[in-house]
Amino acid sequence: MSALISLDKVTFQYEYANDYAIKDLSVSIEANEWVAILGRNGSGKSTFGRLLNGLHLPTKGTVMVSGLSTKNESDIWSIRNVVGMVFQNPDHQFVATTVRDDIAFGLENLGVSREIMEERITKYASLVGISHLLEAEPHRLSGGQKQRVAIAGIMALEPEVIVFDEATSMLDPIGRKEVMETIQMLHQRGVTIISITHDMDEAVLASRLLLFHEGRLVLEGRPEELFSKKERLKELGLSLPFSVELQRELEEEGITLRKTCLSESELMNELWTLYLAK
Amino acid sequence: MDIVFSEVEFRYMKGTPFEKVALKNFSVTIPSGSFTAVIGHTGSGKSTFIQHINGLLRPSAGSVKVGKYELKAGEKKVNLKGLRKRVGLVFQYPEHQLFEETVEKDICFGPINFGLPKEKAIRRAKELLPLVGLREDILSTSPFQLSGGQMRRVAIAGVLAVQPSVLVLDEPAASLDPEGRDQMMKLFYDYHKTNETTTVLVTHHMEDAAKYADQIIVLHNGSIEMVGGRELIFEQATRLHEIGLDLPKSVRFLQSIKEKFGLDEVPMHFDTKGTSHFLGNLIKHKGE
Repeated sequence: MSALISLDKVTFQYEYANDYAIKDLSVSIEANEWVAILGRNGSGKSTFGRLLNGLHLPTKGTVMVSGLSTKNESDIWSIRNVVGMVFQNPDHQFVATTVRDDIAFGLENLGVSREIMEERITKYASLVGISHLLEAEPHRLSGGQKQRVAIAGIMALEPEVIVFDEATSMLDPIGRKEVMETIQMLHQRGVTIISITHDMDEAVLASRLLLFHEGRLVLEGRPEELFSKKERLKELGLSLPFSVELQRELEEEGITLRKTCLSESELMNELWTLYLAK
Repeated sequence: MDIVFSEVEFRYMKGTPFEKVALKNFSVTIPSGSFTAVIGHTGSGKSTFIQHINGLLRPSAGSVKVGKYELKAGEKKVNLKGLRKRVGLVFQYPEHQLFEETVEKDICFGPINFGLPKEKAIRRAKELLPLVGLREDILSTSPFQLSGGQMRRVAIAGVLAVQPSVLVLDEPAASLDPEGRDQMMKLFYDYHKTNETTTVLVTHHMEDAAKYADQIIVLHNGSIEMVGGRELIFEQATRLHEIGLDLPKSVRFLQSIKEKFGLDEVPMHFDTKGTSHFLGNLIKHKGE
């Protein structure tokens, strides 16, 4: 079986730019993976996201989604039904005066019948926990609520893949938590997640990490593999998740643990075991 | 310059059916030369608050004093130009405010607008470039050919070029990568120290608030919830959670350690270094 998304030797150059934003990139993403895309500003992360649903077309190479090439103009809408995108600033994503109409907007464009539309709005509003907000004006919501409305709007189109392009970076701590819980719920329901993020504590939730540097994919692996390469990550401008950073400092204090702990609770348990054994 | 809010109230769309109270019973002092962080959930009034500092918004009741400038409810005649020359505001995504043909013109726009001769403005622009991490050959290029990070640095140089004595920063490091974020915060902190500016930072990052601020103001539903140093603020974990905020990660982790290990108390550390030192000693000296 072929991968849900596959890029073959993809190069992308913005008009008027001297340099390539993406260079010779080949990578595949399977159904129901959760892939986090990491790297400095300008490393090609967002460009990568936009190549996946044909917002950008490769200068060279091909991007295949569900067996369709984004270069085929007649397939582009089918591809966009497969790959939905949630962007950083929720305020830029609203088109209607109520939450209900905003979710309906995408469905209207698809030409979905009235009954199905109502059914999906109810279903997905309830799934992301915004049923009580359907009649509200989008711009009056909190950041986390706005982002969840944007997610409901995308989910109503029932895409197989959702790309989150720094979707939590403008939110307060609680809004961030709400959106992360929603993403985890989507993943459990079988949606393929691609999250472009600077937040390493978000990245550890992914099943695979892709690390970009100057338009190239330079490191790839499971979070526990990648985050054990502490020095290399620092060179590439990334920070470490809190628990890994703390563990690194602990090593300097002479406290060495048996494994790289990606979460605070894991680190806590390791420390507790060590403490009891003393 | 001391910034003093006395009994400020602010209503959006006053006298219409959409009237909304955004600030109420709002009294607080930001001492001259301090670094103050403002935290609060989305919609708690942070942006409304800081827009009063340079007169973008005027109080519906009460008064706002910034040094010798005073904005009082109902009073029209205020020297806003003088106030705005002294208060530099860096909004979220300041790069969206670039508009000139060249970087030089963009950085010099503010100072020239406030009456500085062109040559002096250009000299200032050149002095600022290394400070914000840009090279001089960038001056003749169009700001719109730059990367997002460079554009942001140009916009910030434009604000600093006016040499404000009060610097108000609204999430200036939002969406930067971790390294860029550290550099940006360090830039503002160094500028603050060197020029003894009064700095007000709005942030969602509790770590930044704890790391840089002498004073933290916590907002909730348009009112002041807490004011104080970081120890005082982050000791009130339960209340912070109730109003949608969190603790800095190190503080939170040590709180969990306290519960798990059944300790009577744990110190408050704001970075991983202090935290690991404490944990190292705790484990190494068990039972001593």
